[in-house]
Amino acid sequence: MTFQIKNLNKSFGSKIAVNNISIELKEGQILGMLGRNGAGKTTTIRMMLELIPKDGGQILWKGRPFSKKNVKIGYLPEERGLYAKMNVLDQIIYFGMLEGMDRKEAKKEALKWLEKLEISYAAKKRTEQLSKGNQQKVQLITAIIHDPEFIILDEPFSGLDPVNADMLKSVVKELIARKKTIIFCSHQMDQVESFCSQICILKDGNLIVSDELANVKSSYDYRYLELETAATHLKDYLEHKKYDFTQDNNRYKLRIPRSEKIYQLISEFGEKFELHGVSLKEPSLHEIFIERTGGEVIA
Amino acid sequence: MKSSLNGQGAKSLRNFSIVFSTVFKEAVKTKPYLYITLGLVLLSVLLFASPAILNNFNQDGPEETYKLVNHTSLELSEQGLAQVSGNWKIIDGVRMESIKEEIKADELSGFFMLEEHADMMKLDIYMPKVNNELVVGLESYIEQKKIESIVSSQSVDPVILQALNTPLQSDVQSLYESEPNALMIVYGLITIMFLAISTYGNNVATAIASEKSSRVMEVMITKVAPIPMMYGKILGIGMASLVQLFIFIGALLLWANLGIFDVPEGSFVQTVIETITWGTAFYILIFFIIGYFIYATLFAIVGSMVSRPDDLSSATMPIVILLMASLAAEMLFVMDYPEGMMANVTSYIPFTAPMSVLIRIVYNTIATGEIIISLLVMLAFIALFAAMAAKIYPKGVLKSDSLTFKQLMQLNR
Repeated sequence: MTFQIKNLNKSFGSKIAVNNISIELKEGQILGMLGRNGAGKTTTIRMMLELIPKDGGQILWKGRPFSKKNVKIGYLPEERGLYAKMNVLDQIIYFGMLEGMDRKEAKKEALKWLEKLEISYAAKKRTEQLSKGNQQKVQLITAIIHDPEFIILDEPFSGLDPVNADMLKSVVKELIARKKTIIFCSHQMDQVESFCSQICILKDGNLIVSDELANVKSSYDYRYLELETAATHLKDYLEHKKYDFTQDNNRYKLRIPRSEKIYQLISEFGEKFELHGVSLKEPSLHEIFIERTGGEVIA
Repeated sequence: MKSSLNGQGAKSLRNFSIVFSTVFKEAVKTKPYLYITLGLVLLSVLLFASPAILNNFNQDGPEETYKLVNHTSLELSEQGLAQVSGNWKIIDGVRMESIKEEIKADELSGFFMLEEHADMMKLDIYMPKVNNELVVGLESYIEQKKIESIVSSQSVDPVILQALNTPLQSDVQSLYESEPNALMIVYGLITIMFLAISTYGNNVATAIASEKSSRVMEVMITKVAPIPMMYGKILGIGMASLVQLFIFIGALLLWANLGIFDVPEGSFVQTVIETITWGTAFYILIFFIIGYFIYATLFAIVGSMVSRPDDLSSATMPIVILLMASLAAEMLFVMDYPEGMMANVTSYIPFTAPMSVLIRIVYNTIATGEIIISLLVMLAFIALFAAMAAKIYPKGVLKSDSLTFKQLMQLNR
């Protein structure tokens, strides 16, 4: 494993913020770190970044202590932080240089990224003169300009309009394609689902889920069968057979126990009703999250 | 292990220099900085041009006219009176109403009535604004005429007359081995030091508190260790302050050497030129830097303890009070008596030493050995503050809420 968290602990007084969690990640994998507010995500990230000391446990990178001394880290914090009065280009160069780049190289990369994210026109503007979305682009550039091996993205798309969100999503996809190891924190489950191969869910400082997303989904004892039909009496049939289902016009979504023989079921419906469409779906991450954390819908 | 430590040291040094140069460049790029620098250059021009400007004002004004009624036996002449100052008319008698009207119409600057009584002579002065220099000169002239009158009536030897008329020449001498106007220079220097330390110290605290409130600190801490970052900021802002000081002193030296301004003998400007030698300038620089460093470290620690810049004014109050108390101690005790006990004691207290030693250097009342000991004491305190800052600052900057000093101490346990 490239990145490992082993038995990590942290308490603030009598409050246990992180309780003995362990996470593993291969190089090039992207981990979706989920949890309700106060679950321990930020504390875990802060311990990874050595912003706060850990009480116990280990964080390793290729077998060595995970530290900015051993690995190039990119960090996009949830609460954005830029120098408001500094001009955009100088700011990106400054952050790049602090990550070991020389000025010329940092400037070249900064201009490349500004061009790519369509904010070259703002290079000489003061950061405070930019819109929130454009400031977020600048923040992302400062996090990745030095081509880090390990990247932490905490709510990278919050507060963005759809156009800017798509633009930043394309950057994340590019980072994934370039085999960067990424920890992705978000409350937007659809994004986590679309980007992450691995997920972990934290609840009250405890790691309650940590696996590949596909395994997490398949470990659930139910899945969904979606049927599309014009036959109005399907509803009566489902009610009669006591199926757990929802209806949206001609579409019916049935919650089916995983133990049920699905092809037998499909052929049974096929024989009785004229079906226009049939699909089998795993439970969504959104559902899993709510079920496991006992929370309300956040996204 | 050793090479790893060296590598970390080199990285810290590199990051320190990046923070330092960036903070310096950002500080000197701001409009207030440019305006203040320009203001200082203009101030230096004004300082050098002030004697000429004052002279011009004096020359351009109309010559004063005075009237005198002489009801004595003394032989006063209008020419003799003119040597005292202005134009004079000796008149026999006058109505006070007409004198008042002339004064109101600015046709007359003063009216004098000299009368002889049985046992004394009396001079009545009518002036809207009494010119002491003129009055003293006039009294001296009348006294001289009185002596001449007595001498001529008593047939005294002209040699005795000459001896009686020998003028008294007074000259202000310095109490210490410094120029007579040194007090003004000292006032100027400690005022500049006070303003620079409080202004730039506050800038350091504001920069750190702003970073905390904008959360840029959290990103910065992942890139730079807190201590190189703190000193990069302190020195970056300090260097901007020094550059302003250099520009001001450089402008003064330029005007002094170019000789384009007329600098009269005994003027304040001449004293500045004679007092601020290269050696004195070197000491001023050293004590200015050390004074700034001591207070700026405290400002940085306080900046790391508040959650937002708005809270700074109350949080920095103890430092400002300490700074003002130091300034008051200098003005009340050290400046009046730079050889006294207070001057000696305050030369070894780190918060007062930069100003005290500077005053004593200008007054020439401090030995080189004392300067060195004072410097060592201050350097020891800077090391102590640095060690304190190394403990407090990293904890303070990562706390998003405001912290008390006690809480910070608890965090360090």
